[in-house]
Amino acid sequence: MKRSFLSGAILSCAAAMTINTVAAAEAKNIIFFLGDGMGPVTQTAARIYAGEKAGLAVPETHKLAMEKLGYAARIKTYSEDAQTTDSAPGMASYITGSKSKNEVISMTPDTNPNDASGNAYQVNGDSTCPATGNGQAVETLLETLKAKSYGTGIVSTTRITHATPATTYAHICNRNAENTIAAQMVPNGAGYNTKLGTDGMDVVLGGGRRHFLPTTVSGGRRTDSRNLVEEMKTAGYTYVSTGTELSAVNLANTNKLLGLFNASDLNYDLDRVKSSINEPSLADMTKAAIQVLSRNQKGYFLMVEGGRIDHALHGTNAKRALEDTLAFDAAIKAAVESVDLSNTLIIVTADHDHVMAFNGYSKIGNPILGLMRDYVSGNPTKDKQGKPFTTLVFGNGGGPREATRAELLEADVLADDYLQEVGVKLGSAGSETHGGGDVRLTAGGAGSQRFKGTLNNTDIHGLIKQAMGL
Amino acid sequence: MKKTGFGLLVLLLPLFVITHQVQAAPADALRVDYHQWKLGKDGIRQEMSYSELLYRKPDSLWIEREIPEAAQHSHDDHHHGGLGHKHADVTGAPLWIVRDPQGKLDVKLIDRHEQRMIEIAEAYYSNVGFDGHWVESWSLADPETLQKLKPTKISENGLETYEIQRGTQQITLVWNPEGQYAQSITAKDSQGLSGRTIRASEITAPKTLPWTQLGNYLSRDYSDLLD
Repeated sequence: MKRSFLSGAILSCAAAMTINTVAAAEAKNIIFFLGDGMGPVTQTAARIYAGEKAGLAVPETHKLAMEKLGYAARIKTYSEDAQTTDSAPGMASYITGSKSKNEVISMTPDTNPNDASGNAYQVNGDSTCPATGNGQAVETLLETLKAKSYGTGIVSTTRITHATPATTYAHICNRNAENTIAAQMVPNGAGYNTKLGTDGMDVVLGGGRRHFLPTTVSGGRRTDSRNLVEEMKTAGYTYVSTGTELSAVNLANTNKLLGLFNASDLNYDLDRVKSSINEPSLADMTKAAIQVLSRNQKGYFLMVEGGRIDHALHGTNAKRALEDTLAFDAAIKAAVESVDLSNTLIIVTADHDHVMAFNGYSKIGNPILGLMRDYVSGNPTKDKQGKPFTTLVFGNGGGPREATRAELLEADVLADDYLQEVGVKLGSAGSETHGGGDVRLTAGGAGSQRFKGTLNNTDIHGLIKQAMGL
Repeated sequence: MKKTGFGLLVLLLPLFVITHQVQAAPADALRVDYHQWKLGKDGIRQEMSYSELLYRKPDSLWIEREIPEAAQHSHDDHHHGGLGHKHADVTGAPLWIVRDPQGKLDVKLIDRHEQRMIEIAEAYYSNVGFDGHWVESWSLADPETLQKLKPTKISENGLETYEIQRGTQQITLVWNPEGQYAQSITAKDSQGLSGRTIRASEITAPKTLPWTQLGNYLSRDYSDLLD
């Protein structure tokens, strides 16, 4: 009996280890989708908006690609020093497993972005962070995987030196030092982040050319005279700067790909399509990145950011925010269709919420960007001054400059440039704030069953490592 | 003869007006006072007023909000207020709009505090309070539209008054053809629940126009206002 018990215990233990080992080996590849500022209301509104575009009788029943992933969690997003995070610690928490202060890129929690007087540790994009005594770099998931010979890539609709993508490959005390951040990705150049190995990341696609070019070149902002585009080419990167050029690249033979499609952020997707701007869609960039990275037999890490959702929300321009959310969702759909979900983990989440609110009580099928119509009468709902208002509004922000509420017409509020009304008027353009509420995370594919419940943003890093057996 | 003379006068009157418009020098600086009010169904009347300075050249327009001294103080406090994450405060900052010969607009927000000229692409016009309409911004009304209407009155000094009904809004517009601007626009709704008045007056233009004093300003774009 005793022997049997012991044998049973050994067997059980072995079985458990086997299960753990199998679980640990589940994900070979990780694609991390980050919808910047894509809070729950934005996601719900985008779902309805997509349903309207698809011509559904009940648009509310639509499902986004990100909502078809099998597992969901609720994520707490606070940073080291703020109830409401900004994008730097918001994303860094996912990618390093460590909290940090607002404005700080992948550094320890004691790192400060400003000096004691409140002056930022950066001047015109160049870092003035103290060399010592102001925190330490924290290893990112991209660096961990790079060290293990995985393929690595980042894709964004913002400048590639912007906070979210920067957290994956750079370490700096102030996010606005984007010239310095750019230098951290150039293999073997001055300021290079050696944790990116001898050859650097494999795929870099986004905007932000201005931080790669010297001020002597039109639009360049580098003050050190370096041309990082040329340095990246010398380091072996194929460089493209338009959507047409990206589509012409022979991805089957390309191992190092750099695409910088705008001096600053890429255009909003609404404008990219409407004005036929020669920039790739987020889905195009995602597919290109997967094609390059998937040739790595070890596996790969890919981060994809829908970064301009956040910008449109800052401007209280719900229409552009929803259009960019749908472009982000199209990239997720493209990825799901391109990969083998039996060995690829796909995670979709946001770094923080915004203060966009969803007013009640519109009738079913009412245009999500339109005026509110009562669900009983179908007539526009009026405020106490007898004026109609929209379903989507913002808790704060610059909003329209009109100091008093205009008589809103349906055609006005559905226009591309309509800015939703705001509660607390902050005045300045783009001043709407992030929100401190929780965000959603959905996960699908290999190892995705771990992502459920209410989690801290820092938990995700460890769960990804578990899924990848790291 | 009498009849012919009268007919000639009728024929010449529009010509006189047009000639008057063409030959006059438009006002190069205006102070524009805005006033709005509305009465809610809760019985509360809300009013709002502010003023802007307009400096005008044929293809250049500077729009600057007047910030009274007391408000300027708190404005600056806010600008420096607080550490950590914040957006640049460019509330009421001047707009400089330049039109090229093809009619393409170049819109810049002028951040005097940080000495930055912020390029505003078309997608962001509404975020800085510009509706994209050059003529209406430059003249406060579109003279071509007015030419299609008949003035209800022309004063001795040439001011033209137009009465316009737009939906429930009754609009009275006084056009100054010599100065090329709407001298006043008064709108009120038929129920007496809201109203709006714009009054423009000519002022002396500064000896040095503000857009000539931006030599040391950094060129930036709207994305620099975002995080």
